[in-house]
Amino acid sequence: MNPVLIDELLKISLVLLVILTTIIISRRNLVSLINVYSLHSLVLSFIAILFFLSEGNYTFLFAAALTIISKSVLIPILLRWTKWHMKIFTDIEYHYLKPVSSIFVSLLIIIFSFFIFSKIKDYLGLSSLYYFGVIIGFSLVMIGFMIIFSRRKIIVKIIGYLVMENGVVLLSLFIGEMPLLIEMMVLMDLLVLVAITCILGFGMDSSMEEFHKKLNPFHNWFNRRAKK
Amino acid sequence: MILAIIIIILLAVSLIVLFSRSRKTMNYVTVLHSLSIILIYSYLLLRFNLPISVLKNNYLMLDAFSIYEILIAGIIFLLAAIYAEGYIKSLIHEKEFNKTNIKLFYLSYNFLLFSMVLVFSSNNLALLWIFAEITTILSATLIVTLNAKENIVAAMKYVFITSTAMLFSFIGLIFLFAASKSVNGVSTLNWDVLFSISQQISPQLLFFSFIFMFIGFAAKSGIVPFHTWLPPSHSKAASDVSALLSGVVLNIGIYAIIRMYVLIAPTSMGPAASIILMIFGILTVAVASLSMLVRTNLKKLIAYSSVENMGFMLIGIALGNMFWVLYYILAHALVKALLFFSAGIIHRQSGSMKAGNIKDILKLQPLACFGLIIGSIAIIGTPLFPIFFPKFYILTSLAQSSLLLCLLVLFFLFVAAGSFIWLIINLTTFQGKEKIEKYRIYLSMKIPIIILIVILFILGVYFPQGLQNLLKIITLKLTGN
Repeated sequence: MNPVLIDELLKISLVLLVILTTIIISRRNLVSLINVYSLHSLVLSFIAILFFLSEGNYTFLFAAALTIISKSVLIPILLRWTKWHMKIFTDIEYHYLKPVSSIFVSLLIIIFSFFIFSKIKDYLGLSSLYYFGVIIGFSLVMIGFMIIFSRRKIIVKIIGYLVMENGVVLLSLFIGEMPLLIEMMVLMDLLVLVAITCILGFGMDSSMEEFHKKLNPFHNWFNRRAKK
Repeated sequence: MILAIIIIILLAVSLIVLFSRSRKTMNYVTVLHSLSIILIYSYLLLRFNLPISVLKNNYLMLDAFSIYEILIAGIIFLLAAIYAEGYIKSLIHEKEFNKTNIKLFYLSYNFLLFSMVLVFSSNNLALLWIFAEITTILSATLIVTLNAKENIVAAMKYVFITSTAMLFSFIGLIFLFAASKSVNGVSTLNWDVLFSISQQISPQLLFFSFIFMFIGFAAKSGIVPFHTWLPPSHSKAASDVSALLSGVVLNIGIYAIIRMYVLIAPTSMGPAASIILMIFGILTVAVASLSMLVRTNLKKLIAYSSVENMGFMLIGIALGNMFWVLYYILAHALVKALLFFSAGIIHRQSGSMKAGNIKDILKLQPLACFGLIIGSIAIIGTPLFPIFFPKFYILTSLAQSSLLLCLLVLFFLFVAAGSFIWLIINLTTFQGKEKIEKYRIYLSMKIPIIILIVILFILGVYFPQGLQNLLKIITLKLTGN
């Protein structure tokens, strides 16, 4: 594929990621929040595919497949299930920042990332496009962090965490070749997420008795195995 | 070979736990598991030339430092497993522990031990990160097994805060990985390679990755401002679990910070890294000791004291006083285990951890009370107890670099000591009007307390030559002097 075209597509995808992040910050409706997150991850995997096309390294293709399966399909399903379970539809509770001020703070975050990365730019030896990618990746991490702090609903906090995670993947795509270990790390993150969601889904919005009732099927499973 | 052995042991133990119907058997195999880890790694330490590569490409490697940490973990796990025999039994009896959770509890317990061993054996920093995350999940599971809704909230807070912060250390890893490429064209995250080339890596990039790594692992060891998860989860967990969380799981953060610090220390950014550690260390000691002032809940006080001690260790690392920091890790783990075990018995007796609700405890549970008093005296750094030496020497080297800072830290240590003594006097001397029945404490709960008291008394007056040599070897390896 034409390298110039790939570079242009990379630029477009990065801008798209920033736009989608802005939408995530300003959305209150949980359904659309989850859908936008799913799209966000899809763009991320598209970037990984572009990397595969330009460098021919199958690790990128693997990473893209993994991102599509887990982040744009499985996790959104899990989140929808949790949302349905907890019976919340909109999130209008904010700690410190309302959407408008959040967008303003995100802007500051991007400028701030630009500033700190300008200090170490020379040591990294990156081309200007890759440098841009690194900055966007880092900004996504910080914006995700801001979402975690500024929103009160735990399910939205989890989306903030996921945005952070997408930022980390983006950062690792642009900074160096992806060793297989990074995939393992992504899987680890999924594990953490599943753990959080399970705790959430089982416990947070139901009483203690219900929590144990829900845990019981697992124990029955263990006990059945024991009897055999 | 070593990895295969410990995996086989873990599998055997898990199978027994899964298929056994008696809680006693599960507990026995858990005790045996911890014991086997101690024996295997002591044998490796005494018989083999370190470091030993455990996995291909040196992904897992054992050096003296890793084995030292694994042995500390093994000892605390062993004592907590012995304690759990009686403790879990009485929790089930009081219906505070759901019977259906037993298998989950023992499985997580054994897997936590296994993952702790892997954390400390990881030479590859990415693997260390992964295993550290696994320990978070398993510890959270152990916290959740108790029958209370607050436990779920505490565990969730723990998982959420630490894994969010750990994402930052992942960024640090990515930068370290990119930085290592600049030296000989091959990127690596293997600590031994990084250690040998650290002076050729660009110091700015190294510093950048150090900062990010520090954020994640500081959260793992409860350094201010990432400490908010620690007091609720350590005080809500069952007492044997609290001992593990406080004595062993917190060490992961300090262990990783030491490994990262020795990479950056010899470079030109070393002093800057020291300043950062010093600032966070003093901040942690200050915030923790001031929060200890108003505590009336015994377990919360002990949990805050863990925060304070972690901060003090950071100060020690910042000063480069590795020898005493390493000794501090051991002493802190032992004392914390003693305090939590004693607190567990007191909780059984009075059903509460609050100062006003604990009555006649000195008469009813003399051993636990004695353990609590000894532990409190030891943790504040009184002479004749092992924490005294590291505290003294770290403070002395702090005084050499800045007398003002030393006085400041000393002031906060006094505050912490004061709150400990105030609460302990309150707890032990409070007498109720009505007659309270004595709660029957199983022998297996008393044995670890007695063992710990004896060890603390011995270590307080006698520093074994073997331990001294081990610490010297580790310090030499890490700092070169």
